[in-house]
Amino acid sequence: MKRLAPAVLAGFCILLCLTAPKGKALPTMIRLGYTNCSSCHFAPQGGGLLNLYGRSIDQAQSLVGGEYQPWENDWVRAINWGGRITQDFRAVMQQQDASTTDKPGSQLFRNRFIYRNATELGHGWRITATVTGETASAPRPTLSYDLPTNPSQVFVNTALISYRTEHNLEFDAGRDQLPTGVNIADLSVFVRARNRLGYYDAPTQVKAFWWGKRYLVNPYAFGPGGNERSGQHESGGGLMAEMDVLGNHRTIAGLNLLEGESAAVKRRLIGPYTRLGFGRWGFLAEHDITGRTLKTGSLASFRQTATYGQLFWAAREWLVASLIGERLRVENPYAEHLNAAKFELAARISSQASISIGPRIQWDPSTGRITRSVVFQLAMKTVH
Amino acid sequence: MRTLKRRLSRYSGLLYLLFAGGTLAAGQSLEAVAIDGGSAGFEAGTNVPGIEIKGSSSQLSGRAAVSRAASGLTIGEVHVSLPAKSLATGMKVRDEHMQKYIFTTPDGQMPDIEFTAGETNCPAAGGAGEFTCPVSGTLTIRGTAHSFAMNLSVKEPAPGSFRVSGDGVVKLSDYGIPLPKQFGVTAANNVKVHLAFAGRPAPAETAAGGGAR
Repeated sequence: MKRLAPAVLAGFCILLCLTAPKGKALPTMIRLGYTNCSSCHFAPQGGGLLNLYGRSIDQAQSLVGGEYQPWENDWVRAINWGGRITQDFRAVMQQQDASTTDKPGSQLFRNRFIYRNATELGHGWRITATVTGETASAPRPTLSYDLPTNPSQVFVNTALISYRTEHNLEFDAGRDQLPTGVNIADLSVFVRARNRLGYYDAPTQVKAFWWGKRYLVNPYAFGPGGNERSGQHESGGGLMAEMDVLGNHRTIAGLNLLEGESAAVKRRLIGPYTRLGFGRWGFLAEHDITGRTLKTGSLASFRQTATYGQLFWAAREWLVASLIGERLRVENPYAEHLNAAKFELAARISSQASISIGPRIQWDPSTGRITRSVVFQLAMKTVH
Repeated sequence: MRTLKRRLSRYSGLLYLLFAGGTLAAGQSLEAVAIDGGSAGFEAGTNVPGIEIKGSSSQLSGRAAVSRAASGLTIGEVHVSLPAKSLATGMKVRDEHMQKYIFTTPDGQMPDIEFTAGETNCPAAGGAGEFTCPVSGTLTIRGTAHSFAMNLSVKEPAPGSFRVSGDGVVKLSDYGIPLPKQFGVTAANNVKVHLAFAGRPAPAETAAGGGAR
């Protein structure tokens, strides 16, 4: 039981890659010189609601284009508490088709509905919340050494209280996803799915972000989120730091360090990453080395390496094509070897609607098993 | 009007050489240099860390007259221009804002950005065929002229051919341009500019009778 059969692993990988939420953070914006997420998002970690400036960029980068005009009337002011509340509803619909060598094909249509709220309390204080309801769950792969957190049809992804000083320093406390390197929206990629960064991983945490024109420093400490399985309630801490190497706002290099421990396993992660932008195109890469030591059973120690590379090209401001390569290696006694390649075409039709299509192929060199899949996604949100 | 402009352009090279030549010491030979397809870039900070506005154009063109002296080069006169509309930041809306708030005159015109400078001595720099030119002249943005200085680095890989680059800082307030604002993001007053272009011997027709039409 310690070693899962390759077919089962492949199955979980398919499920995960097909059910990944997308359309959150956009690290590809490095191509236009946006070095960190705080320019456009309320959260300096990225993802989630856009601030006023971010909404104007969102509109400008869409097919419809044009100027963003915030709604201004008494009713809007009333529900937004005079501009203190920013909120939206988001719906993500996915059609997924997959086939694996020697296995029957599968199809899945899946919906996710999300409510997001950021309320400014004044004097630098802010409350942020994200609640998701979904028609089908998408847990991380079930690995005997790293069981996925329990999914829920209604899930609180984010519940944070934040305090931001006037000097680009923010402190957050609550539940949220842990900080991560490139911050790819697709949670199915190996660098995320195999490092406890799935959709239902929202540990309780305190974290700080301190950033300037050329740097971002992000220390964090975390504890269990409450929905972990027995023995998997992990606590620990880490530090993420990045800088604009050449000072041209287009060459970010960073490192994420994390150490966590639960009753079942101790893990250490070292994750260098980079975001490079060159006008219409750019490159994202992350290489995570995770060492695990089991505290029960075999007491085995083994290493996992997960690599992600994405070459993207903005054919139009609203249309971005990407070629993505991934690699996963896990040492004995849980040896696993997977490669994957994906083409993704993402189009932002308007600030309210975006679509993407992403054919992907994954192969296991040790078994020759190949999995082909394609995901079509439509995402819509309210904008006020 | 366009015909008149063409005629002026046709003879401007000749007139330019005549007048520029008048300022040079006897014995110095004047070479007309044409600049075409050069690049101009700019970089403006904002009040928000992480947001910086960059743009560029590859439509820099102009002309210069160059003579040689024992100590280096002498630029008799230089005139370069750039269509304001050719500057692009990679985002259409941002380009439209830039054109509207920076380069458009009150009467709705968008004149070219122009730089002119008089005689400049360029002493030899470190390597062979390398010179440093502290150019001081007049930069005109949306029809408003203001003094502007920048250091140009000049390389002459082959006789009569030059590779030039230089950096300077433009203050929007010098041209009466209010700082552009967008949802809490305000552009800085100081805008870094970078020029890079190649100069080649102007064709005889250009020197005697104007440039390409």
